[in-house]
Amino acid sequence: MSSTVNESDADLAPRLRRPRAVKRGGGRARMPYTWLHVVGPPLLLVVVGLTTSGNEYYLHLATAAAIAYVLTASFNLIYGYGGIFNLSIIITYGLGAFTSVWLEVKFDMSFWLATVVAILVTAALSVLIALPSSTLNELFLAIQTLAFALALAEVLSQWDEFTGGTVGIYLIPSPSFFGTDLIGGLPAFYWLTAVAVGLVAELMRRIHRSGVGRRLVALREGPRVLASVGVSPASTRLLAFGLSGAMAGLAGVLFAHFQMVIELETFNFNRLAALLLATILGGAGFLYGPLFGVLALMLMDELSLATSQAQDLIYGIGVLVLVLATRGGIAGAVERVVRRLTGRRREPEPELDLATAGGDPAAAIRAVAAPGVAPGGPARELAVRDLRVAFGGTVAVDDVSIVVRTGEVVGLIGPNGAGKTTLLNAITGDVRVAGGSLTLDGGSLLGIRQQDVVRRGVGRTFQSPKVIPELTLLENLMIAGDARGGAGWIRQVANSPRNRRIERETRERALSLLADFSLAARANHRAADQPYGVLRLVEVARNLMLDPAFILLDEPGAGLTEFERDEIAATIRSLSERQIGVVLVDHNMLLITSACDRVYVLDAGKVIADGPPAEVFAQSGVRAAYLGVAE
Amino acid sequence: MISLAITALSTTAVLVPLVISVSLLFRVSGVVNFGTGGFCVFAGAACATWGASNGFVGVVLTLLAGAALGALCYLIAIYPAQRQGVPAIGLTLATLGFGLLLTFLTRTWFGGEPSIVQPWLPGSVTIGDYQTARQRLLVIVLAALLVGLLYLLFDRTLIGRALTAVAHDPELAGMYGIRARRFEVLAWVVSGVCVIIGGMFQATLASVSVDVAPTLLVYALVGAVIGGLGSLFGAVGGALIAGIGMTLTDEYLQAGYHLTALFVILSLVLVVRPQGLFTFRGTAERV
Repeated sequence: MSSTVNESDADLAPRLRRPRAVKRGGGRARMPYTWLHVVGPPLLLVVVGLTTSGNEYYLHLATAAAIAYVLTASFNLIYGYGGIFNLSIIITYGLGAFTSVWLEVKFDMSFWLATVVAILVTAALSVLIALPSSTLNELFLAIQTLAFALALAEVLSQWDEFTGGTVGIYLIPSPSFFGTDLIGGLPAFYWLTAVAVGLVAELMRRIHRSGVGRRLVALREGPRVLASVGVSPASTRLLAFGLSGAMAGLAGVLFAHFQMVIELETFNFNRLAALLLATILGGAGFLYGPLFGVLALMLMDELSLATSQAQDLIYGIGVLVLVLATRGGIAGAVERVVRRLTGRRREPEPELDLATAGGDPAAAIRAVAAPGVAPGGPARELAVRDLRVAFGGTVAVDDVSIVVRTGEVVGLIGPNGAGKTTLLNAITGDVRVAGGSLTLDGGSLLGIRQQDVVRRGVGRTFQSPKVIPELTLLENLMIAGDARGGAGWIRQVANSPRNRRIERETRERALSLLADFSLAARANHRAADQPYGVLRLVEVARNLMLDPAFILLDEPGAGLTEFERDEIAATIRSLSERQIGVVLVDHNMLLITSACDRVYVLDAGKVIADGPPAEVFAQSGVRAAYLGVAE
Repeated sequence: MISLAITALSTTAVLVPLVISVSLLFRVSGVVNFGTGGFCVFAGAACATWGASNGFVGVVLTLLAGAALGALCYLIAIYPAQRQGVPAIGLTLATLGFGLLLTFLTRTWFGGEPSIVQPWLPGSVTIGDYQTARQRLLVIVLAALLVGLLYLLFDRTLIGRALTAVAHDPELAGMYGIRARRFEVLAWVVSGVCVIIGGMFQATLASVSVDVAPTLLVYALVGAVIGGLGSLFGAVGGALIAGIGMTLTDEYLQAGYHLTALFVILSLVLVVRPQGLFTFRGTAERV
């Protein structure tokens, strides 16, 4: 596999200025000095606290910055990691502030209880916003959430008791801790904030390095991949909304008790612009992005205070320059410098040579794949009967019936537009089926969400390989393991012993699969840097993580060299030896005849022939459909 | 009844140019202009200040400024970022930055106070037993004229064809000899003029201040989305629905809940018909 094939033409941009993916979150590769990341933030907080406690102004700045960090981390979680441009985060922050104060004043609740309730309220509200907007793209989501933010502000502004109308709420009670009053602006309150910030920083670190972080990045980079490995994109999305809403609420509570006076006007459009600036300037999707962002913004605010009150001007220029100049923000730049200093530059891609490395994918699959379906185990059957898929008036798949059993390789061929990929999409629950039945061992798969089809044992690859470019090959495989392992997100974040065990097992399994495909040397390299042929193998390996009973391969040979194609053929053969049923869509006749037990020929949505390859290709109808020979 | 209709229509008339502006840019550049509010506020303040002695001069100067600002926004915020391959959300952020700069300009040049433009047609008329300002009717008529003019421009001229081509595929348009970049600038100029007209309408009927920039922005965005981004017909329809919705909320539910009403309408539309209420085959394809 030493040769490299470029991306197929199908992947080239139809528009000249197709946007280049923003480089976010490059810093996921490895965290070698774990202890530094654990001890660092609390140490920083203590040092800052000790050095500023003598000076009222510095202490004020330090507390404000600490609270801003929590808010920025919340937006970094949802936008930087999850890629969701949620503009309602500022009003969520405000809601946290007002809710806690209202509970304390009206119901005489203690600060601590009020904080918990306020966080629950903001998390719930955040999830509520997420529900109706699940199908929207980035821009529409931005519009929807912005409209929501302004509408909520309008409603709240009319609720005098809650927000104090235009006057605001003042005389906010200070929290007390075993008899000590923690008054905003004094050292005691700084220490309260510091504890909260330390907890949030640790939470972010754990999210960053756990399966939750991988899922969020996958949600940002390719939701379809998530579904294809059995993880629900929808619930990942809700998790991102809920967590970030909770963090924004916490920031709001702290802010209210720090300022001791709040008004709705504080949570306005300019505050939103400042938050966007801090997040992106600091480095969206980087663990330390919010830290740098808050520091940079504090500097800009001091600058605008020192020069005049031209906050609009400074922010406006800041945003314009930022959009142009930053790739990964400050955190991205820092990471590049650190890499250079520690000599860990991006290593050249190691040569992959299957022949000499002794990596025979066929042997590999024989060795590890599908322990769940041992040879000689009960045969399973995937049956499609009279399936019909229509797009408007066009019938893409017209009463198609095919049957695949475990251990079989079934080819699906036909001219372009015959409905082959649509059929695969219908089987995996990607498109709506208009009629017919679809069963796995007699149980219907119709109406089941994509991720659940995968969990029942039907995996697939895509026509152009879909992997998460920002993750390493190892992490790409581990996403699939996360779905199968079953440690919930709380366990993953808490890093419970069980989660540690699952994480270790998943990692080992992923590594051994990569080794079997001769990709071990590249396990820690980003998928974005890999050639096409490697990505194809990664897709197959990712599916094997899930112990599938069936794999649907969509043109695995497309864009590969002759040699790579032989590897694919061997891989397919060994899949079937492991009793995995394979559906193979391809145009390469050699691949089809050498790999398949049976072949179905589709033309214009209908099956026109089926049987062993040699028989089928002898039929004149097939030749006419395929080669245009007169019948 | 007639009073309701006129209020709804005049609200719509203010929204129509704003929505068209947002919609046009989305179609041609793939950008949602988050600076729309800044443009509007600038328009109100500029027209009030420059037209203090002679209203007509003020309007002409403000329109010219709108054209210039539209082109400037493209050249400063969009074009360099496009060349860098910044994705759509980044371009949207850039327009937000430009909007902030405009707000700054408005504040420093014209002061931050609410500005009111003297009505172009003073006095009032009585229809039945309902009395209304002549200006209100004038704004409705002007908005209708603007829509007609833009319809002719986009639908009946080669310029419109070229814009449609550029919107679909600038590279392909280039192969047919259309200077894509030039037409993109044109779209920004037209859009700048439209949004400035909307801002002036608003300033003649009510007042405009820096604080309402986000509100006007949301009016424009929501109107564009509910009508369906990208068509003139959709833009007018969206503005009309938004105008009627806000007027009815004021009249029958509770005054002062415009944004809430719009959010409810927007959510319903996004759930039921996310492509917009007024997108049909054929019309949806036009700029």
